[in-house]
Amino acid sequence: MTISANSSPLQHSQQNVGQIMRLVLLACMPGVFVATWFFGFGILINILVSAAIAVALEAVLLKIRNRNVRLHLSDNSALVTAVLFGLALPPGSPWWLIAIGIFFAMVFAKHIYGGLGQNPFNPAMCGYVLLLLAFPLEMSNWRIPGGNVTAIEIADGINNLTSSNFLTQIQSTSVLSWGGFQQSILASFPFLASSPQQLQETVDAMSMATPLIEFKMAGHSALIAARESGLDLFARESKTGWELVNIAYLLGGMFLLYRRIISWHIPLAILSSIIILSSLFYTPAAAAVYGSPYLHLFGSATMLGAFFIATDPVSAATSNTGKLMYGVIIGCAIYSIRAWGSYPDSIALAVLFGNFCAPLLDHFLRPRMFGHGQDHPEKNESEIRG
Amino acid sequence: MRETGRQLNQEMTIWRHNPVLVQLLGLSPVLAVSTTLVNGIALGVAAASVLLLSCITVSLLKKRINYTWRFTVYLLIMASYTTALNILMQCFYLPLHQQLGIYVPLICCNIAILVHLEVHASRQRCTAAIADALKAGIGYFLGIAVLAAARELLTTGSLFHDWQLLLPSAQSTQSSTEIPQLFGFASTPAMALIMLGLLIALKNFADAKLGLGAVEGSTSVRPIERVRVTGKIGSKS
Repeated sequence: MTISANSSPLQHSQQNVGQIMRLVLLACMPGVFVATWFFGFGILINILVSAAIAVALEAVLLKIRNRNVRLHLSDNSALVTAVLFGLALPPGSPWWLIAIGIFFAMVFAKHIYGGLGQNPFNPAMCGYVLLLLAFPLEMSNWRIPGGNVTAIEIADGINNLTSSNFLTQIQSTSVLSWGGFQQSILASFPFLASSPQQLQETVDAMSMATPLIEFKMAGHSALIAARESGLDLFARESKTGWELVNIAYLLGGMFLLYRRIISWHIPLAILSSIIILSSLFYTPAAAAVYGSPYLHLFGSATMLGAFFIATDPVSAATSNTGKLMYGVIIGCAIYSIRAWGSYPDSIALAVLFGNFCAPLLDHFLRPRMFGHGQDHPEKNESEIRG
Repeated sequence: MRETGRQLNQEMTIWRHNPVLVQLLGLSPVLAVSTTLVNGIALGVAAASVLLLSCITVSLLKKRINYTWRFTVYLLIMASYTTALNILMQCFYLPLHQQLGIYVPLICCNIAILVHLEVHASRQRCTAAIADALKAGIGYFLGIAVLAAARELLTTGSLFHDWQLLLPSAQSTQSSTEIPQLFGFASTPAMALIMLGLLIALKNFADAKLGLGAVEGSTSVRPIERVRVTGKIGSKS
């Protein structure tokens, strides 16, 4: 009779990639739901269009690369990429914009490198950054729900608070009405419009930039004016919406932590470095320029980035110390680009920067294997024997 | 060294030894200039003519060039032809010269040309050197032109914008009309690198499918015997 000696770990987690990705999708859902509730159907259409294209592309690419299409398609990774990509785009983006971005994400960022597990960069963020660089106009096209006001006009609106029709215009229509649905469909598929007039009516479709983006766009003087007249940045309809969206993503992230899909290192490092940096620079003189810690945490895409995007296990650092360093790098990059860069929000650029650093972190912060690299191997050996 | 040179001489073709797609030499002007087809053609012709003239000169002077100082001499020869070309372009193609900017003078330190001089021209008779230089020059020209055509098509959806710049007259000026951009990102260096990668992939794909690639085992590399160098060596404590 022989007793086979298995090495640790003796207890295996029963999860496969498909289940993990399904849980990530599930954890996204509260955020998606809240965002749809506040900003209309544009986000859902974004996600649906990008998911359809991504899954089709994934199947074609797997076929080209002679992989088992059904097996690899069932790992849902294309779906997760598509959902994160759809959430990152301005709601109601035209279909061709989504198609170009997701094509770049799937072909260039994922399959050229060898598919899932081999991609050094987060595919969804690669697609997003390509669109950000190639189509800056379309990518900054955030709109107010139901109203005929764009983000730039908000700056004027804040300046002239006396014009009361500005606020009533915002509150007049509901984004979840049938009209809102029609408008967001037309925004995504302009060729469905029956007449040019109908298309023009949809120009100000469904959503609104995050408070952070408006903060940057509105300019400092407008913001100070708004503060003085008692306007809370989070008080207006959509601002509250973004706050709740972020809380929903935070809850989703907690669920992922609870199910041990992600570890606490990366989100904690990102959030704490953002909090520390934004508190450091939140002096009375600079408050209007850099924004409050609360704005940075809940008035932007921070929660989505910290819990869902940066924790991508393929492109992140692997060791625990490495994950902490990786999170700190991303958090500092997020804050630096927001405060001193020209892009309003910076999750994608910061995550890609972190991805660039991850192989180096893995190289230098390699965890020591048990029993290796100690000073006195002979002594230890005798201790073990004794 | 000399053996590899001879070996390369025998199988030199535009396809198999393309400086842009196979040797990947002299890429910075290729990536920077190939925004429009006109630019690509201009720089391709300029580099190819400098390559041809320096090859002829080097193969004629090969017995007189000091082996130790050969690279200095090659660079001097390339620089003199580039200077002449630069002056001629300023004379006859001033708008085009201004559009190409620093990349015309930079031909004098194009590594594709330098390598060709060292590997081929300095070991050949004049006629063979001309034939090989023509092949390499045409290869370089085609590489830039194809990349530039692809990028211009993606950027604007059309080809031969500002084609009148290629006409030798002082009046040929840049057209002031801006053409609408289809995918402006294609004119950035980042996209140039991606598209060059795609071109190389396409070439390798064609090699695999059509059997046009390098002959297997044409270059024999002797495996290097290695000594174990990792871990602690000779330290007994």
